[in-house]
Amino acid sequence: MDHTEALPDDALAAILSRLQPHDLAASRCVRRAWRAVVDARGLLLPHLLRHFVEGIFANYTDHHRPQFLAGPSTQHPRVDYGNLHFLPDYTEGHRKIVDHCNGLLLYGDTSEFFVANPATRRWQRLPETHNDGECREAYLAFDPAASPHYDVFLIPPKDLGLFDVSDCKLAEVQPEQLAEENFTISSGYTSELHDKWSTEVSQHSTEWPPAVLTLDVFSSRAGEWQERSFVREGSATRRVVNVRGSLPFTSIGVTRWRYGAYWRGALHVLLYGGAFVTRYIINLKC
Amino acid sequence: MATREAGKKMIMLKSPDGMEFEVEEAVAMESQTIRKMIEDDCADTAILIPNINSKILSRVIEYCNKHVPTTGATGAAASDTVAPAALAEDLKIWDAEFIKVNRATRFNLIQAASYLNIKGLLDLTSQTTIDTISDNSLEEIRSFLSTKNDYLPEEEQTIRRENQWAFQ
Repeated sequence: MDHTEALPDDALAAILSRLQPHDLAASRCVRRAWRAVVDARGLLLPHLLRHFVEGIFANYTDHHRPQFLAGPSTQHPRVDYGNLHFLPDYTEGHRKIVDHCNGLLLYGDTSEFFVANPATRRWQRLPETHNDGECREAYLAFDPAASPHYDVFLIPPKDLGLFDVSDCKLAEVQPEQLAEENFTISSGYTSELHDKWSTEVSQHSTEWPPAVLTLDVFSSRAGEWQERSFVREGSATRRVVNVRGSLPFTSIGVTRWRYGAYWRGALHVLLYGGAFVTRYIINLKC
Repeated sequence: MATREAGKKMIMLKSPDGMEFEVEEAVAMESQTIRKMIEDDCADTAILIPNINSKILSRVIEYCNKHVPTTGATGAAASDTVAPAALAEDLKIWDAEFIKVNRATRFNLIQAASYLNIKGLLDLTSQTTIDTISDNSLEEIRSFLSTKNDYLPEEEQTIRRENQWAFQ
């Protein structure tokens, strides 16, 4: 006879909440009622949010793959977090760790991306994006407390440099500062054609921020790239004029001109060398 | 409210099968649920404990009697003569004997401890189940607890995969 079936949810939750995180996660698979109790009461959340630093990945310009810098793991001695050889072409490839979020890594170059969990060695190759020669920066958003799914965002440099972003909550920037300034962008990136960087873009005037910004987003739930629109909040619109010149922007080469972090339901991205912060609100919830 | 010698407040607990148990208030207050009732003045007459039969309720009271912090004249005497460590060791041995029950009784005790919110009893009664789950495969867990897998195979795969993403 199954005595657990007769247990009220409270009693079952009382037992399950005493389990270690891995056992608690496993218990979700035992039967439906167990998963319902674990999920409804958020029993896993405190464990998922208790992260620790195992080490750092370093991308080198003169070395073919990222290196993991860490001492022996004290938390999980059996897990080799830095060993990503399970990824295809890891040894010979020239890809970088381009982003990370809550235990997942985003590994790749400008056209091909992998998402991997070094602890469980699960990995997934993202489908190819439409390649129009423009180099986009990739950002990873993952919150296991909200959903087992992740999103990968591609943001073109012009959107980073032009502040063509939606939902702009600007940090400590007065609207008048944004008007009538000269901004630099690079439209398109080719490693051979350095002179392209300084190509002047014809002078024009751009509304900022645009009312709607559309980004390529890979959703692991959908399993494909989708265009996702971000609608600007508020009406603070300025015109940006004299857009020209180049931005020292490259993702493969020398400089990494990108700073972003997923935090509390939004991807925060620094624009124009950190002068501005944009929040892309993401609904990761199931 | 009923009172007994030495001014000790007594509380009447009733099981659904009609049995009544008179216990010291301090003993009853080992249950956080009953403590709250008493503190909210909801305990003037007998407290009905739903879903817990007299057999289980009497075991729960037996546990609380043993674990209530000793106070007053007899309590002071006890702690004067027995070192705390020895007392704790004695309790551990007593607990180990107490929990030698069949699985049905154990789950009834878990249910009671959960409803009455008695942390120590819940720790004690759920430990065997926790040991059963910890570090065991799903098949072993299901077999030990004679619980059925009601997932479709593909559903189970999906949930297993979720865990693969989520853990460090």
